[in-house]
Amino acid sequence: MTDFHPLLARQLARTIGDHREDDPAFAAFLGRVDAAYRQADLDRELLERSIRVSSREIAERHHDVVRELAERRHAEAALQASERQMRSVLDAAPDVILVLDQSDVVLDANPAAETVLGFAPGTLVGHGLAERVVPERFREEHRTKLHAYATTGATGSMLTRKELPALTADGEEIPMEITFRPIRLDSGETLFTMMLRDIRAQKQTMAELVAARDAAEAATRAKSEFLANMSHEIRTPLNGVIGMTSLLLDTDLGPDQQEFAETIQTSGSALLALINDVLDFSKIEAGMLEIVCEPFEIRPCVEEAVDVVAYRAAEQGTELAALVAEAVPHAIQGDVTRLRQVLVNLLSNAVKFTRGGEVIVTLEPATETVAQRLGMMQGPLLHLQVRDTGIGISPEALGTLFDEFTQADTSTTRHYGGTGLGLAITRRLVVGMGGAIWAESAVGVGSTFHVVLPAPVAETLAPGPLPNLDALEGKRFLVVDDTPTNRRILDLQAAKWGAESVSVASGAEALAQLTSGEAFDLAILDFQMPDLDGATLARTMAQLRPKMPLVMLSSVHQRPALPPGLLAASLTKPIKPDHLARVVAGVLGRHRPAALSQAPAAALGLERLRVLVAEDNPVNQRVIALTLDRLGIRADVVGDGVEVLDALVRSAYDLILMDVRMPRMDGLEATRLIRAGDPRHQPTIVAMTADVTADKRDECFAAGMNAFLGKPLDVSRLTEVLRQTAPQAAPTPLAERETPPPSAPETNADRPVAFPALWAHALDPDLYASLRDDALASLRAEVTGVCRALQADDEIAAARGAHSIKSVGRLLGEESLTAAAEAVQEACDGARLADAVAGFVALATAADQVMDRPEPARCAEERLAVAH
Amino acid sequence: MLAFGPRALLEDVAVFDAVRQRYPSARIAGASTGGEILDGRVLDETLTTAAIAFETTSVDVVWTPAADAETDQALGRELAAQLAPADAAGRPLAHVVVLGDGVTLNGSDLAAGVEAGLPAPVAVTGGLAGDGAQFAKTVLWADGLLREPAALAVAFYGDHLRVGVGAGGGWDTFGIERTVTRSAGNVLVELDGRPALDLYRDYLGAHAAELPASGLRFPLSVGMPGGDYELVRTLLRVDRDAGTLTFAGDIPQGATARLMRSNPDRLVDGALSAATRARTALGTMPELSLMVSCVGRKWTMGERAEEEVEEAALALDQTATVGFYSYGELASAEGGSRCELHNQTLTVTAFSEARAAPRP
Repeated sequence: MTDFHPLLARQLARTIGDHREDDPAFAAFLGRVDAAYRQADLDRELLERSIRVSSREIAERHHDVVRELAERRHAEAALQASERQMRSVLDAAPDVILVLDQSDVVLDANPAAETVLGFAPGTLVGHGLAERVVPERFREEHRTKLHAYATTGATGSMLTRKELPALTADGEEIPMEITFRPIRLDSGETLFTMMLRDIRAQKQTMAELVAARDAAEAATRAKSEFLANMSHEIRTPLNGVIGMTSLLLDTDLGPDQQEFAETIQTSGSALLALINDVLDFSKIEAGMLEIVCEPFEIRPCVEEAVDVVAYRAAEQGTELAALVAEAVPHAIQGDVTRLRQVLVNLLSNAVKFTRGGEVIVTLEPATETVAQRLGMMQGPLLHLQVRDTGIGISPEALGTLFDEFTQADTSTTRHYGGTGLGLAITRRLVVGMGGAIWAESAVGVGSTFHVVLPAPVAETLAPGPLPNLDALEGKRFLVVDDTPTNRRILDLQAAKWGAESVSVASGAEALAQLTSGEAFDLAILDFQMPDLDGATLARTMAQLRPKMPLVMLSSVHQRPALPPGLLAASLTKPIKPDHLARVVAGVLGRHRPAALSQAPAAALGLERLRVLVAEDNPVNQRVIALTLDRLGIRADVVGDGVEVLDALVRSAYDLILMDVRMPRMDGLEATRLIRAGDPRHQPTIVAMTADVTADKRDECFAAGMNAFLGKPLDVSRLTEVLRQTAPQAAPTPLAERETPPPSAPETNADRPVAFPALWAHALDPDLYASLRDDALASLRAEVTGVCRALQADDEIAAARGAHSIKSVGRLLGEESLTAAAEAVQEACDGARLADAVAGFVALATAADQVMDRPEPARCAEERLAVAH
Repeated sequence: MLAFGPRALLEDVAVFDAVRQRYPSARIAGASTGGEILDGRVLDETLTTAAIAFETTSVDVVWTPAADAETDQALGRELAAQLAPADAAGRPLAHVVVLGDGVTLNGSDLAAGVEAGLPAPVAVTGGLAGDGAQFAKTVLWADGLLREPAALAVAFYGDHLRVGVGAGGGWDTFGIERTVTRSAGNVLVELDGRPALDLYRDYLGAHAAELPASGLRFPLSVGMPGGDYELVRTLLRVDRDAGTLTFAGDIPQGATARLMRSNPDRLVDGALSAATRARTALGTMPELSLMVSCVGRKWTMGERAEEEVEEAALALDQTATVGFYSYGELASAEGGSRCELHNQTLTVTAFSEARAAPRP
């Protein structure tokens, strides 16, 4: 019994006691009851435990919920506090802040709505913004934009801060700065905030400032204009003073008078320079500095600038050289006039402070390092340096070097003169061109001025016609120059031509080269050298190598006194590569064995050639006609393509020398028409043009021309062309004629004349004189014409005149005249009248020089000799 | 022939041979159990058989080894695919009873697979075989002893077979609702971020030592995520090292879970309602009822286990009943038509073959 469930055991003991029945059914029953008791116990135990555990879990969950609620309340309180803070910020804001819903209804407004716009609380909230605040003329736009945003989300110009008028409660419009922003709520709803700031005071201040600025600007402008006017007014009488003084100096004066007059002259010139500077500067100050951007060729620009100071440099015995690196493009985009001005200023400055020694301009593409240091990393840059061996600049003075009215020190001014404006102007010009300028210097050693300019390559401007350099290829030159820079330039040039150069620094070395038996095709000598001067050296060399042509480099005012014919050519420094190439090629070409230029026409069988010349320029007409005449050929001359066709109807020609560019009908068109005509009457047609590019050549041949001659006409080439044409007209073979060998008096080739280039073409004193007189007369007339055209603002006429002067310049071989004429023509073509006028001054000066140039006296003697 | 008995008996080939000898041409299907049910009585350690003779109905028994299918769902599909929509005589498929391995199979997947693979939309009932309180291995008979884990199907073909199905629980949920934060298939790892095993340790106290058997007292009511019905899940195995519990059916992550408890009276009520439903659905006097109850119920009720079977038998008018205590019951859920895996329920499948007219 003891193993029954305790309760069952107790119950059994109480009801049955120890009288246990041995009935097995009863025992089984008791077993079941016991199991049920135990089952119930287990159930209860687990139930109680479940209630306990579950209660604990529920309590924990409850605790969590309570804590969560507390946290939420806390967060809500914090949110409320932050809201109150926001509210107080809004309340305190001086700007009106509104909240709108998508249908333009004002949901909230801060107190500024009352203080600024006068809307009492409750008069704005709940109402449409448009009808209360937006002036009627803006309402439609306002609604449209709001609608656009609501439907498409397009903000358009909505978000930009705007100045718009707003209406006050009284209906008054006041200017406001308005900011408008959509705000997207977490709920997905979109509202708008609008901030309106009263800008009446700001407007007022702004208006005052603008007025003050305008007044200041007007005053400055007036001042600059006054200065510009004054400078001009001063210049006019000053020109008179200087002009009259030079006339005075030409008269017979006593020594004192001479000295006084010279002083007036010098002072006047100094004053003029000063006034020019002031004028330039005041123009810049007045904002009248205009920088143009157009393609131009760099090398001529540098050469022109160098030319300007060449005379003074030579006078002081200062070596002057320009070195343009090969890598510098042929042409760039920029302002050629300003670049020239910068160069001239820097060069004048360098020359001014350098007595003796040397001034060297170098031009090269800026290195990466330089570009980086200047922060000019876009596009190609040109690095220009003007280096001198002058007095130098102290470190203190370097700092203020480019400031206005500053010179290194006042004593400098006394000693060297100048306004102190030159570098300031230069700096303004460089900065205006987008460049940078700085200087390096050591006192007593010299200074280097650096200019770095943006230099986009101008592809449109193809490299101009180079002289035919074939004659130079493979030649061997001896270069004698004591200046290393010049030797370098000459070596570089020779290499460029495909020639070999041996350069030595003194006459002694040069003679050593010759005596050692070295073969040279040509020697280039510097006139001014310390040990053995160029003239002496030239004489010695001519004795050593009579056949070797000598080219002398000398300064403008140094004319080597040498017997005629000793020098093949004489060039002035600084060296201009193209000019040098042309001269050297000419010299070597001339020394070729077949000098046909002097061959009489009869000897060549040309006299029966029927030649028609088509040329519109009267000077050129005469040149060609006279040249042909000298060769025994009578030519008919017409002025344009139409006249050519007329002439062909009247009579037959063997040869037409056809100018390409002519009025009415050009040479190409005329040629095409002739070639399309009667095949039995087809003359040889030879083009004559200054434009010797390959393109032009191809165009001429395509039109049906047979040959091509450059202008100005080269007599030997012309003769060659005539000779090639002759057999068709003259069946007599050349070889059968007993012709004396062409006599080419060397002296004639190198006789000193005023215009050697013209002489090279003419090679006949009469023809030369005739052509020269024609050319000069034409020049005089054209210069007057251009001057009148410019005064009348007639660019077209001026351009035409300048073009004529250009071709006269080419004929005479006057490069500065040609260049000046070209500049004027370009300026006129570009309708830049101011530049044209400026260019005309240079043109007139160059023209005066040409027209006033006397023929060397020897020339006259020689003519007599020839006459005998 | 339906046969139910303890694993030891069903495993014994001699036992099967004896049955076969007695019924040489019968189709035989059987399962090991956690107790047998026969005519309102609960039996233990007995071989309980029911020999069924039909007048107009034919029977087929098919089976598929678990190893043949990659998933238990595929297994269910393959099993069902072996069934024809009609027998050789053209009688349509009327009902399917499925018996499956109770230890290795996921009953939910098996039920879903069978449902999907059936050739005709007929009701499916049945259960997973049991292994007493061992949870080690279960055994099936399908015209022979199956030596590997498998599932079998008994198909009933006939125009006149009527079937009524009912299921009943009798469990109450209690305590807080928890969320399944980690699970994989039928392995529950975490509830509300805590190891699931801890929950059972808390509730069982000293009885935790008797896990997994003692865990049957606290089945889980699982609210399927996205569904508005709840299923009861019985604890099968415990991994004390990993702290995880394996249930007789899936417990998806994100589902809600509440503990359930009961007492013998409520379970008896549940059994009664299952039998009443089956009887009502059948609409006529049953001739045979298959009763599948959960071992968990048996253990919860202890000595009173017999009471639910007695009550159910009463509701079935004391007609013939046979069945077993299973590791998972298969029948359609309350209010649904799909066959689902149930735990801790009593399911009743009542059969009746209406008298057929004499064949010509």
